[in-house]
Amino acid sequence: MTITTAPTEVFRLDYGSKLEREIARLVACFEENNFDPGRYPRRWLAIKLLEADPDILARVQSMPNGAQVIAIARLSAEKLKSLLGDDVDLLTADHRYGYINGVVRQTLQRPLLDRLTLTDRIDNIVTHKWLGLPFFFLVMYLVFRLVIDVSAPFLDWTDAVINGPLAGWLTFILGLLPAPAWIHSLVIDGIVAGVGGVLVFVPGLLILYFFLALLEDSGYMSRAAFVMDRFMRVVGLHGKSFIPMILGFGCAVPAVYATRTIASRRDRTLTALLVPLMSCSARLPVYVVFGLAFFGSRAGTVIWAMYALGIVVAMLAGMVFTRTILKPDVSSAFVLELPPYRQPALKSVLIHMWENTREFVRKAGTTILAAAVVMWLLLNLPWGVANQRDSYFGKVSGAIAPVFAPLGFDNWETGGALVSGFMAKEIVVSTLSQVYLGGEEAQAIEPTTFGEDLLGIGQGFAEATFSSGKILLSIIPGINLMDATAEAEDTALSLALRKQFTPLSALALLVFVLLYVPCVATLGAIRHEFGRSWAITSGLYQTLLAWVAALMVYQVGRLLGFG
Amino acid sequence: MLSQLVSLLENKENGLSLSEISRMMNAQPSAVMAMIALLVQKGKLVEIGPDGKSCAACGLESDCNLLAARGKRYACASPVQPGEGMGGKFAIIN
Repeated sequence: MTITTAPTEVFRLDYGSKLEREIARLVACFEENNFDPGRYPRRWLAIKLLEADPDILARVQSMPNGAQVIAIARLSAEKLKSLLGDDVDLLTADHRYGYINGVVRQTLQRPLLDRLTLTDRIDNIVTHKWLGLPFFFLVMYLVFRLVIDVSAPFLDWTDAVINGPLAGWLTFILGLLPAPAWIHSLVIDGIVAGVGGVLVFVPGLLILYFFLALLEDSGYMSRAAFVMDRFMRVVGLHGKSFIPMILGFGCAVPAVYATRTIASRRDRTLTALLVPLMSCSARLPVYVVFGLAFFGSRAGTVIWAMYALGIVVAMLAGMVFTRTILKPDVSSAFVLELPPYRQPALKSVLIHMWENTREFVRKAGTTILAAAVVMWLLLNLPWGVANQRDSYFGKVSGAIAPVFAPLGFDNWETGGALVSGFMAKEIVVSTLSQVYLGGEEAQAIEPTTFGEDLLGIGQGFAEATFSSGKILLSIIPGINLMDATAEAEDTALSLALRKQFTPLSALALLVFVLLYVPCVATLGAIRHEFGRSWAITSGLYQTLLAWVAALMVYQVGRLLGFG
Repeated sequence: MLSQLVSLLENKENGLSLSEISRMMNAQPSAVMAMIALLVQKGKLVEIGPDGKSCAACGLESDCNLLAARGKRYACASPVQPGEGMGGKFAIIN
């Protein structure tokens, strides 16, 4: 049997007359220069030489008469560039893409991308003129409910680990060393109470950053900026300014630097003045401590309300600035890319979550550690002071406290904590922990072995994970795995705070913490970007605003009978 | 196709995103991305930030929250005059 095959036609892409002429000339010059291309097809090799393919040039260079051929190819390529205006590799790629495009169009019929259609359908709701904003607030509400409810068992567990086994181990180690009593007090009452009081919130931040990363990576955050554009225009800005504000939910410092992307100097300045009103993650520990201590199962709603209030106050403050010291100039168009929705990659979300939380932990190990040591010193000087009220800290705080009397919290401990929060907002909680818990006599704890401690930590973590899982599932409508009578466990700090505050004065304090002077790092960023006078303006107007807002909350609340 | 892509971006001060370019060229984003990568490599196009300036001058490109939030945009590296470069070729063909 014989098999015959039809002669196959060699495919040859036409690169156009000018290119084809040079290719043919180069192929001809192979013969003229006694150049043997070996296993390479002549036309293909000529094209590669004209494209100046580095690999092929190196190979041809080593072949007999290769150098002459390369020199001729270079002259041809330069000639083509002067004629057609581009490198040969771009010209050939252009022809190839053109050919592929033609083939695809003639042979393939493709429906519109499903993902695009789905994106458009979702956008019809989330960027809707009337539904867009309620949807945005609903998303933020769900995020904060999840953060508070799901992280609550882990917060209790971390608190128990820090104040239980960890404090116990440190006490044991200090007992082995010939350390004086003041070292013991510095470590346990100063560092463990101060830094530990802030580290307790790491699980909450991990969960917050997890959800913020989900929103960002899914493509929703740019929709949020789009939705807010209409409202930003009310205050003389546009949606572009909302992007730094979204960053402000994490930390105000990068958010202030992010205003550089705004073209107008006036818009930049106004945005930077409003960014610190967005509730940064450093304020979250304060909200959580007071939220869980005074509002129980409504803590998530209260915390969400703080974030929403920050946005509303920023709008109002913007309107005032626009009509006074920062009158609008010519408005520029807002161009915002809305990328298609995509499924966030778990790895990317976890990296995002960890990088942000790591920054918080780093701050706990540096700024907050230093502040805790300074605060411990101020609480214990003059040396040997019996009552913290008589310490330097107590005296200064006592002098400031009357300013807060109309706001419902005139105790010296809170006054001092708010002043220390100027360094970083987390320090408010750190200071309150030191003041209220640092001086307490340690409760008699039954001695345990190291192994029992580790077992207890593991069991506690497993129980916290189980409880969080139940809470997470209970969020789904129709599923209720929670015991209706179960209440969040009270921390020692919660119990101490309840002796000093009512729910109304606690709410006034939260409003004050939300709005008062930005931390020193944020003011530094504003000074760096806009100058000293704008940094002073930011600090002063926010403190005044915070005082007035907290006053209104407390006094109106009392008039309504909530006090 | 490359010349069409370059001429599409001519005079677009704020550039265009990958999805905008692929929609305008009626081509798959993955196919367009390969073309963009070649043109960026050859210096014909630049990746630009939200402020309209080249990301190459910033140095924070890989860690830019704003780029992540807004998506990358591309613009011509320099204005292309008729009769010059890819745009010129496109103009001659048409």
